[in-house]
Amino acid sequence: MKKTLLTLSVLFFLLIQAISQNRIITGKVTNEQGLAVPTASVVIKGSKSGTTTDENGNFSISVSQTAKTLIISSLNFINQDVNIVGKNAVMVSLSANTQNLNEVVITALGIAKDKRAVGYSTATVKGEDLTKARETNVINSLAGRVSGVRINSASGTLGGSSLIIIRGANSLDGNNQPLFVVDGFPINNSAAGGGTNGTNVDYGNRAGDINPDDVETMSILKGAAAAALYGSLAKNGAVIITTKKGKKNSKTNVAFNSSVRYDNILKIPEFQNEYAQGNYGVYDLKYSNGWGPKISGVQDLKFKDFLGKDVTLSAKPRNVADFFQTGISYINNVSFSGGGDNSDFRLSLSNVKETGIIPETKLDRYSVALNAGRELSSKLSSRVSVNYTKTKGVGRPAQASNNSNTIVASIFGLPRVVDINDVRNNVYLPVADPVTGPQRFLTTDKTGNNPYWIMQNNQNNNVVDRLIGTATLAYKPFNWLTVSNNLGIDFYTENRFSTVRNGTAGFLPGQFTTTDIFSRTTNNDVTITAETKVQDFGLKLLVGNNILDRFVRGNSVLATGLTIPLLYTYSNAAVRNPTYNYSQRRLIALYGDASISYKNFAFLDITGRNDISSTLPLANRSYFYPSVTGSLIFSELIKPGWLSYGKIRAGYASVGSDESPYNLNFTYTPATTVFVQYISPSPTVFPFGVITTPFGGPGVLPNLLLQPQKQNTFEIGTDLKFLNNRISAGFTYYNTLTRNQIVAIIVPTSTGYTNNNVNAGGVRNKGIEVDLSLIPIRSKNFTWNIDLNFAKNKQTVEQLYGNLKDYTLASGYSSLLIKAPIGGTFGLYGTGWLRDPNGNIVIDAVSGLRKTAPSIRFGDIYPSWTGGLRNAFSYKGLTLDFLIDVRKGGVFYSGTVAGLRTSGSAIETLANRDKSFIDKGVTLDGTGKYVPNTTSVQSMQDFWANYSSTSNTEGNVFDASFVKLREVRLSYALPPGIFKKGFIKGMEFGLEGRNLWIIKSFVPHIDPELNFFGSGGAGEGVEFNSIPSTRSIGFNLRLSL
Amino acid sequence: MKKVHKFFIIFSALFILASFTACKKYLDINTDPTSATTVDGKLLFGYAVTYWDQSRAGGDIHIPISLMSQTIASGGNFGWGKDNIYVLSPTSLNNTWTFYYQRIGNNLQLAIKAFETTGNKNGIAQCQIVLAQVVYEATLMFGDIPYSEAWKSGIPYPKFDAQKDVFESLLKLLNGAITALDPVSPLKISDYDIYYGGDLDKWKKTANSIKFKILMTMVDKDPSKAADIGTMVANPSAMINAASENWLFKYSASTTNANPKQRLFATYTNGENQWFFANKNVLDYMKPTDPRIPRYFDKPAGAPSYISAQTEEEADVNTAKISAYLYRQDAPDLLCTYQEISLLESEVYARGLGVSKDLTKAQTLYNQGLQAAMLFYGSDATATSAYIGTQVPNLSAIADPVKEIHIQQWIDLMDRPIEAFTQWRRSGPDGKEVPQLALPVGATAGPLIRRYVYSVDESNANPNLPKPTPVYSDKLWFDL
Repeated sequence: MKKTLLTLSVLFFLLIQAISQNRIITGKVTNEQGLAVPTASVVIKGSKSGTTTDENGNFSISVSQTAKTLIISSLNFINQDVNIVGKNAVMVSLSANTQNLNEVVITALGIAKDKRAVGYSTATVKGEDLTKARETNVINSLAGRVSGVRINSASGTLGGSSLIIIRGANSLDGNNQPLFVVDGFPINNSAAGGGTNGTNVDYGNRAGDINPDDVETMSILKGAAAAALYGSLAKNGAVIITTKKGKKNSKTNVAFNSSVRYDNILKIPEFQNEYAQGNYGVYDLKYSNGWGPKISGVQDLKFKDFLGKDVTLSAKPRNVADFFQTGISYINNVSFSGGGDNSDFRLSLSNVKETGIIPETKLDRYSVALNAGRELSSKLSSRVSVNYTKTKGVGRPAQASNNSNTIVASIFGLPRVVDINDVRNNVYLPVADPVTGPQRFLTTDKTGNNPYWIMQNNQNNNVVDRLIGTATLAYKPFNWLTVSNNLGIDFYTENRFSTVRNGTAGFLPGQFTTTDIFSRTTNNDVTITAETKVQDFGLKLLVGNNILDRFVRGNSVLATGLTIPLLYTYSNAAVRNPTYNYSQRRLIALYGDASISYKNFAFLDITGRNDISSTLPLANRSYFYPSVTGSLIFSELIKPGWLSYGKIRAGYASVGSDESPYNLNFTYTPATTVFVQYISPSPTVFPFGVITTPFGGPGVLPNLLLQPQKQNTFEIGTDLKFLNNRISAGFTYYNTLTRNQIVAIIVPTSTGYTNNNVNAGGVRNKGIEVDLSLIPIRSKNFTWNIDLNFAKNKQTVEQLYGNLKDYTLASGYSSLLIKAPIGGTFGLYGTGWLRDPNGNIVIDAVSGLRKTAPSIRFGDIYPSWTGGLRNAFSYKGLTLDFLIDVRKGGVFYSGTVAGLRTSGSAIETLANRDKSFIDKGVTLDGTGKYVPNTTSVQSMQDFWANYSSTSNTEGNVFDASFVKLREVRLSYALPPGIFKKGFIKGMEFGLEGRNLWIIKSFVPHIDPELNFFGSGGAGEGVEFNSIPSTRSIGFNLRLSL
Repeated sequence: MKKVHKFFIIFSALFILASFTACKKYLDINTDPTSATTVDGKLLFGYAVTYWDQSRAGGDIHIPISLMSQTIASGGNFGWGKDNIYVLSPTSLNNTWTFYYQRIGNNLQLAIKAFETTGNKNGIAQCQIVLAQVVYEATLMFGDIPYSEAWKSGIPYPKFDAQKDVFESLLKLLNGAITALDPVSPLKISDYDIYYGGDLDKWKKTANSIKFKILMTMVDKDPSKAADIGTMVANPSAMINAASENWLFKYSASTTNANPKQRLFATYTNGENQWFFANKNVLDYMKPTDPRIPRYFDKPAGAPSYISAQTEEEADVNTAKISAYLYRQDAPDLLCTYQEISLLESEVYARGLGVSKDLTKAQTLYNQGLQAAMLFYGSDATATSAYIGTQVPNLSAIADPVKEIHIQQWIDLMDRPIEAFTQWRRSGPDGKEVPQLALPVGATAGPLIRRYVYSVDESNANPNLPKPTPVYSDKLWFDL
């Protein structure tokens, strides 16, 4: 070490040269079409000094007599070296960077690297791709764009959460989300877990707080090799976000980006419109279903409707569709940026105002972002960024099952003869019922709520105030040495407030819940970087120290039994049940990174990191892990004419990680509630009679001998460009094994514990990723770009623990489970149809209904491959861009479809209603032989009740494959020439559409992408009454002053 | 030059040193500030008994077992829903098993440990008495279960004990607890004792009553138990011998402390029972003058009489519902009652188990039990006296007095599904149970249900699971 440092420093100093007299070079930078390129960077090669071009593409720079080359660079253009030997003026024409990726990649710790030097697969999405067709949750914008990166928007809730899975799920514990890093600072991306709690409300994930308008680039580091310097946090990859900054020596630029967007429900179920509500063909107001009489058959009769009027039944085909409204969003951003000789700044103000497709739902978001840098001296520079976001969500609807407040069940379950206007205009009784209160119920059994009652009275609201601040100080005592400190703090408070009005079916006495969450993440990195060049070798050495503290505290109070309706204060409640959560964890790490390059075509990068975690046992809490990556630009060695660029890359990384806090000691927890089957939304609450403050032992036996988890990844790939960059291709193969995972493995409950915390399991993910980019046409005025990405991942659970054959990752209602089986992939399990040895479905000889068998696997929850296809056409300032997103494979369980079918509301339940139906299958005869079924079902009502019962999982499982038109954008940029005299410098109009069309899907009635486990859980591919997703169309105006 | 690299080396060394030495204290924060490392055993006892009863009265046990043992009717689509009640929900099986072994069983064991450190012998005995009943229930549902190796650290895969051995172990456990109860000692669970408020006399009677019930469950299979039974009935005051001594888990008329049976309706059907109806297998065995009928059932307005339905038969607006009285908020959960013990004692004399057959004695106890049953459920006092005075059969004069006692035991246990299911199984050999039940509509063709099957979690994790894995129609050891 000492020797290396010595050599290094000696070498650096040899390079220091005296600076002699200066001269002035002027020039103009244009694009291939001859139009000016403003704000291009002009840097003297081998130095740090430079300038930028003005709005007309002109620049002027003072250079030393010995300077030979200028480097001209601009976003979206290929860097160009310009020879200035003997010249005073230069004309530079930059070629567009036809790779969608920048040549500079932001890697771990915010280190910008030449893409050539990167030994692993990365992808970069530019900010403008995120702001042209704007998504409120920035994660959704990544859907279909990047190979191996899968986005799953959990619900259509305004400001709802999105799951992001990079290269397959590695963990058995549900933690499969990548790390989000903003300007070098790992931010909190927590999310509610979703799942089978009765109050499954999608409050969003916190990465959704990132304002797309402030994003310069998003780099996706897909594997551990890329993210090794971040250590355990980034074992599932990392999303590195760099925010926009001002430019030094530039005039103040004011930019407006304004969008208005209209949202509609993407998919409305197909309803039958022939039968009214009832039971076995007899009209009955007790039911909210479609099993009553045929409407056309009873036109001579009058029936009482829910308003008590005698009416002739008639179908209202649009009653559900008319419940949903057009959501409107206004997204406005204004930013000011600029800089002087020693400083730069950017201030951005944004506002998002949305109303949802479900009445009474709203989302408001305000963001202020300031990013300012200043060179305090020639050696000392600083940068500060402050980002404040306030998000207010109103009326987030309840999802899932076992809750009479789920809006989807309430609205999709409307009988076909009910007019939505009657439902809307008759929410309240003129005189409140003494028992059930002011609500006018739609059925005589009063078990379901009017959907408008739910949305008007039973709201789930939240307000998030979030501040992220970073401060960086960099000291450069010598040209070759930089010492920098990067401190970041991310804190937010989230206040949730849910009300249930007195008189709500299921919650007659009324209740409300308040939840206050405080989260604080503090991160500090000190790094020392030394860099030099010895002849053909470039050397860079970095050592760093990281301190990370994550703290979350939560208070929640459930108050039930309200004396005065609509008065939501604790003292108005008969029972108040507070809960308190607290979690703090710390990590200290030391890391190093050595990079060696040879002639700018061979690169080697070695990293090592040692973490010490507060959450592991003392003896095992310090752990080291290394990574090695390398790349070779072989096109520099052999250069056939057709190959413009060729690179091979390979990497190996090992990453260790810790576990959640407080899992080591045996402790007793005070109990606040007791779970009771079917009534989890209103559990038993302590104090219970004389039992005031009981304590319970743990269900999971803690373990004092835990070891850190380990993940090993190998990846190899190539990046190629052909025919003058007209074709480019990237291929990657990776193989990741995550073992020694800290999981609460299921043990015999008879030991007294349901689970033991152990190191167990090995999950392997192997796969390939392909990114292709073609430019079939590139002429002066017209360009056609095609980008294609493809990813195939094979997940295998190689190891569990002891004799265990599978591990339960998540559970839904009624026997539905997501399990990890030895030798297989995470899959969906549940009750399936009983089959004879030949695979025929066995049917009950008496009822004619299918028989069932427990614990059947229905398939993988993950796709076998995913792909995206993007086409972009540009003609002068006009561009048309569309993106198709494809998923193949995997299964999907829909609780919504189950409800639509069992209630006789779905169109397919019309079949065979007036004739006898014999289900295809076999029955067991008296002699023990299987013979073809000849028993007809007693009624289709019984058939669907059995076939689609939520407890008969198989009837509600579908192929999860889909093809979607994810995005279409049409934009027009006015030619800069026309603004010459005015104060406007540029203007661009856009028409944007997102989630426009489900081109192909195998799931009836709903979007196959919903997920009720939310982004915080291990489950996927399951929904129960999830909020429908939306299609949006918007107009966008961008203005630069 | 040299200065610079020296500086660099020193700086790096200091930096590394600083970060490692400073970190030890900084990282020692892994103690959960929201949980305790030691607690009083009564807190764990309170936790265990509350969970136990939420499980008994909740949707995992009360509803499925009531339907499968056919004490209530689902009403088909008109009510709870048309279901194959023999398809046992894996979720409910898992929950039930987890409650018995983890939430209840383990916390009782932890409570016993806590009491051992404080020398609270009464606390230990009180926990053991509850544990005995919990394990008794578990074996009545699951048959052979882990007991001798359960809840023992260092035993990752507890073996399954034969049901007979479980019963014998429980008898021993109860004998130990009875001996250990020390009414003089102030150390006991009193303020957290939701049953008896620390009245150890009643705890002793309860322990004896559980013993008696276990012996009565065993005696058909193991007639040698008759002797012990004879000893026990000779001293009835050692058992629960008055309504005031009933072993009850009390609920209260509040939203969150109400009986889960009521809260099911509070959650879904505005507090009124729209789902469960009078089952023919109960109502048809009750005399029309039985004063419990209006307490057990609600006759819909306009219905001509109390009309019952078969277990999964489609009900209609005239079908009698299980009463709002039974499903009231503060309906207690019955663990062991005076009427139950009286009727069992009556059965002992009618059958001559360990005593000489004595139908007169049986009659007295039968009348005593029946009257206690009627009064317990709030029957009209005059109607009850009239019934006891004129309507009860003369056990000495009828052909099958034991059957008559079994019918009353069955009717009394209508709202206590685990006990009713056990009563039915022990009431006679296969095909001769009281009452004779038929396969419900929609249930899988084949024999009647006899047991719960093992939980999926235990089956997957414990290699000692009995093989072949039992199915729902397999009889347990005690069931002839």
